[in-house]
Amino acid sequence: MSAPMVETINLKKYFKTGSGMLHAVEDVNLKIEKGKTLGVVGESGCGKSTLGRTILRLQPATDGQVLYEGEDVLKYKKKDMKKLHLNMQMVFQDPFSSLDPRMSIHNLIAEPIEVCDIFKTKKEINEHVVRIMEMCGLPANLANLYPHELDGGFRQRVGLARAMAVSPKFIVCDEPVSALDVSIQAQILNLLMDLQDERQLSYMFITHDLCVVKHISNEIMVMYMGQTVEYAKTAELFAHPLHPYTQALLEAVPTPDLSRRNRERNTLKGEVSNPINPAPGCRFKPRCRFADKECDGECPLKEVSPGHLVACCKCG
Amino acid sequence: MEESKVSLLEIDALTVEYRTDDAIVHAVNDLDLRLDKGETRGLVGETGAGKTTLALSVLRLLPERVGHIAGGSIRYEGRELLQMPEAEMLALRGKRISMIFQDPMTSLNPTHTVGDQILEVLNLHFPEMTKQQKEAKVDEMMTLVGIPPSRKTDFPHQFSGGMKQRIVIAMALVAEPELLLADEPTTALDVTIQAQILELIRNLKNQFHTAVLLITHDLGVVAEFCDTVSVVYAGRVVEYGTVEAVFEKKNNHPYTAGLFGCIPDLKDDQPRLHPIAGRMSDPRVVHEGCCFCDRCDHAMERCKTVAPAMHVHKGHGIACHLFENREDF
Repeated sequence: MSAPMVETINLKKYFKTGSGMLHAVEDVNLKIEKGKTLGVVGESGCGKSTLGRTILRLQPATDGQVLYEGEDVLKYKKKDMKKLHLNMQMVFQDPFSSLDPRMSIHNLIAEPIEVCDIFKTKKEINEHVVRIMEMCGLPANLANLYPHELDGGFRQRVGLARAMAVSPKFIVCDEPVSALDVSIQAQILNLLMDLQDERQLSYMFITHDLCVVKHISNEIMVMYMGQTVEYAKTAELFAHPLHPYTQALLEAVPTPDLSRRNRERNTLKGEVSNPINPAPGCRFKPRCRFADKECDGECPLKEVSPGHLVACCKCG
Repeated sequence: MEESKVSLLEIDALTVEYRTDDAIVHAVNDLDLRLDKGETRGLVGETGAGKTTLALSVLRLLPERVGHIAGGSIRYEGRELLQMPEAEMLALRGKRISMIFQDPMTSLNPTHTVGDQILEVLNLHFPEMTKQQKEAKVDEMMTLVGIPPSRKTDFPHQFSGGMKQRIVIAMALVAEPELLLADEPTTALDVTIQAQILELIRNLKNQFHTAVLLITHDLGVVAEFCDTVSVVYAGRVVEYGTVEAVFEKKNNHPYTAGLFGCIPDLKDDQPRLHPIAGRMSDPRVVHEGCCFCDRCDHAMERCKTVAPAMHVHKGHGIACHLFENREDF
């Protein structure tokens, strides 16, 4: 079997803070195959965005490996970074702050093409920008406008067009639709899926929205305080959520479905704390209904059924 | 909803404009709404639908000089709010009608302790209470929203987003108002915290018999939390009814149906979503016909020129020509 498109091995990212070491990403192992989408789900502060940024080397990893088609990109020298950026790109969460307000839409999309030296002449660049804009559903008459003149949906299309401009094979989408209204969200999700079908793209799709992640992902990784707590195929995860945190998340999601209206709610108590100098043992323990002494020990990720991994000593 | 009964809040043909140098923005157009005592009504719509403007109009907190109520009436327990002297409005705000704002990070004063901020409401509205009584009430309220009273000397920045929203709720409900306007109270929060906060509002609302107007863009929140729902588009109510009638998904306004089609379902697998074509209409343009006709799959020639009336059947109203002369929905 050939190497997966993207793989991480024991990836760690710690931040030094005044009160100690913050373990933002702890020993994350993931694999994304060509043309597939991995959904990364968790609440704010669980390390999902940090994970995405670390994979793209937007910040240095503390330890571990990030393999792109089997090659460790964390070992790349500065001059090799262009190669990395040609293959791996990112779409950011907030289309209002991720675009330079002083650049026109045309220049915003041309910038990555110029930086990566894909085309030599101005004419070729311009033609490419037109192609990319069309591909991302941006009418050509927007080219000379500035970001503040566009609404959220169009801005997010520009963000996507910037990522697509260098024809990458892997895109980290960091909450690309969270800031958008549902009707616009659906348009962007459809666009992402069409582009994936056309170009065999791989996505890492970071979100807190379980409905969205179910819709777009092939596999899902649930994170809690920097650690992977559950990792499975999408259908499997939604049919048999095993980790108490995954179960609580699924239960908390409000859905426009009256049959769930009068269900018994086991609302999760407490809030997420900071993973600063975390104690060994399960990090979810303080909020978990099933926690007991056993949970103070190590709780590594175990495979409970083919392809379904859970980090809970009460499961499997 | 019988016309004869006086509801807690009655809004008739409300029209609100924002007048700027460049243009007049028609934020709320001819909007009707009823809210009974103890009822929880969801007000659903996308960004720019006029939801927040509506809530601000009820409290008469529209931005001065820019926001104008161009017509209509807002009655609270049968009394017209739009003509009420400001002194009487002051007595109403925070005591009988209170509001929870969307962003708990910015709606608290960073320079005062949270205890003082809850106390302020009591100082304003209950001057007859003694200091001890007020302090006791603050402690009681903080316990109710799940924050130990020992933390009342802390400042807002020492709390997480969910805790801040709990404090905002404590401030809103300490005077035990009859009407709570909750403007996207959980949008800035994580799902598990959202579930906690909604449950908290639900419990307190039952305890104090408060009517709630829950403004949200999330149909899921409405389905789980509200009794009735009004769907707004371009400043108009396009559909209203009980949650059961609207979420049955059999008879809906094309816009509501479109919203349902945009949400990926947790239960079923659908390969593609069905977004509503196009974008929100420009609020500077006055529509002659139906405000949704540019984006509607069922638009007819008539929709462009004749504004649809609200067709009501068993308390379920839909403003669409498709439902004219239909007895069965």
